[in-house]
Amino acid sequence: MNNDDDRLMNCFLTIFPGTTRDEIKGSKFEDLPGWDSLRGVTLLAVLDDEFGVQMDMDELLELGTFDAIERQFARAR
Amino acid sequence: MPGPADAVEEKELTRLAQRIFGPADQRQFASVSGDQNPIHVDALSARRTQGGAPVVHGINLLLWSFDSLASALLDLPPLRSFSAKFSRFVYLGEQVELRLVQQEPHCSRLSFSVDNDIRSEIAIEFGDPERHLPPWVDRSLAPQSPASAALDPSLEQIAERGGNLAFCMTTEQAATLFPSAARWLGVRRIMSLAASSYLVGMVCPGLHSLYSELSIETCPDSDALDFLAYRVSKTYPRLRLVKQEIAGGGITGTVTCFVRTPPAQQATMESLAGLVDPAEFTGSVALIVGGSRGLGELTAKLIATGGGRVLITWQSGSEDAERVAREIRSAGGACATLAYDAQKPAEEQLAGLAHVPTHAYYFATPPIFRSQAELFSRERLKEFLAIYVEGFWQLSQALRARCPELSMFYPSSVAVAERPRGMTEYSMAKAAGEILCADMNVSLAPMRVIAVRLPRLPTDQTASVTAAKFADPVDTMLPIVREVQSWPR
Repeated sequence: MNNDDDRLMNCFLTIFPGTTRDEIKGSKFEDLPGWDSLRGVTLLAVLDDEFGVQMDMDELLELGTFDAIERQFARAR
Repeated sequence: MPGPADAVEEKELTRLAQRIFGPADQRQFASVSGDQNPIHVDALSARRTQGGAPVVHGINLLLWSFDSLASALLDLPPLRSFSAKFSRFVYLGEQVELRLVQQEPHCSRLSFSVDNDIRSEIAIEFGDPERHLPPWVDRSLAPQSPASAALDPSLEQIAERGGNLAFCMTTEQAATLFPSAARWLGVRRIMSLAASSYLVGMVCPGLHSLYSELSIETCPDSDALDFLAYRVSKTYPRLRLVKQEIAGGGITGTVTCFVRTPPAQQATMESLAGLVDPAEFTGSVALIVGGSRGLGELTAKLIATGGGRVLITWQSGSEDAERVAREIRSAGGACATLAYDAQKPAEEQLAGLAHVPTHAYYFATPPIFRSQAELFSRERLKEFLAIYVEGFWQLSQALRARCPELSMFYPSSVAVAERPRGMTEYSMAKAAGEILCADMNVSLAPMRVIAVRLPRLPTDQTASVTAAKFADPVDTMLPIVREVQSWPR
């Protein structure tokens, strides 16, 4: 994992405390413990704060997984 | 491996308290905190919010949690910080269970749940306070006195908000209502946390707010402040999310809240006038169950615009029904209102009808979105079936006895095919309703039932915190109304 990937993982760990890195990497957002639309929005705000990336909920759900976001961010770099 | 005795001990360790919050608790906390937001205290207004019914103040739950924790564990170390996430609503009458999820020398974690469905989580750190008063606090600003009605600023206005709020809760009230928490934290921290509920619910964002998260550090420097200072630190208009910094009464921290989308407004009679021929539905009498708001309101207006006589029913919102009726009458339409409960026998409720309905539209529904821990709840399915199947059948039989060529509309849902998460029982009940409609069309001619799977449309039931994509209600309903009104040919 490079530095940006670590920052991305930290965003997820902030929103889903008590969840392991493996769970985050291996699950769809909607399958993560505690997922709901409010938490999704809060994740979007954290991604905005950390990376300046402005996504909406539909885009987030379309990406679906941590790995997909990671790839998307890598392409944008 | 733990044995049964261990399991009992563990259970006793983790379950701290249980409580059912009732209307009196709600009024009391609203009064002492000043947070009289309608989502908490006005059942009629709350039914038009994302909650669908009055919800317990998150800060009341938080303070009850602290009080229960301090009561159960007498030698709690000083609080250094905590964070709380209010993930899901807690409704009046629900049994809330507070659990101690983790207890270590330097930290604790609490959760409260209803039927094992976690509604909120609190993470606590113990230790000596380290924070100093934030430099943005302006002691020279006079504290604002509590407002009696919730403010309703725009997102642009919210971005610039800040000020000092006088505490509404007194030291005596803090010590009386939350005695153990007051001994642990000090009364001023209780007052300050209660003031954060007032801030969110009444001032900023105010009327359409939703308290989502709270991250707090104890701050002895701010103990001398007799008010809660606040300033909006960031807004995310796209997400309708607001972050505010707060300080006062011995705490400092960040509040995260949402600006809820306001209740859905249906098209006005004036805006519909050009879409429907004024004589298109003349001669028909349409009974619209649930016509006081949402798609029922829109359907009533469409038919009245076309010259049809409409009778709209309401279960709890008589004022909403009268508002719709007034608008229709003002535009020259004919509209009456009727109290009707889809779970009670239809025949008795329709006994005094002045005009025999030739058409009927059935929009009766219980709250659709409710959080639950399990995929399937038998009780939820029964609740949906009682209205979507039994209530519809009862009504159809009572009306068919009066008008054998009755034409009815049954609103099914795309959820039957799409199966969104958390809507298992809803989808099952709508599917059962569709089967009933199909069999009625086979066996009960000349009456006819049109069942359509509606897309997600903007109504109070589908209101979400964030902007959601909806189909256009007029574009969706007008062809359906024309099809239903076309029978008998």
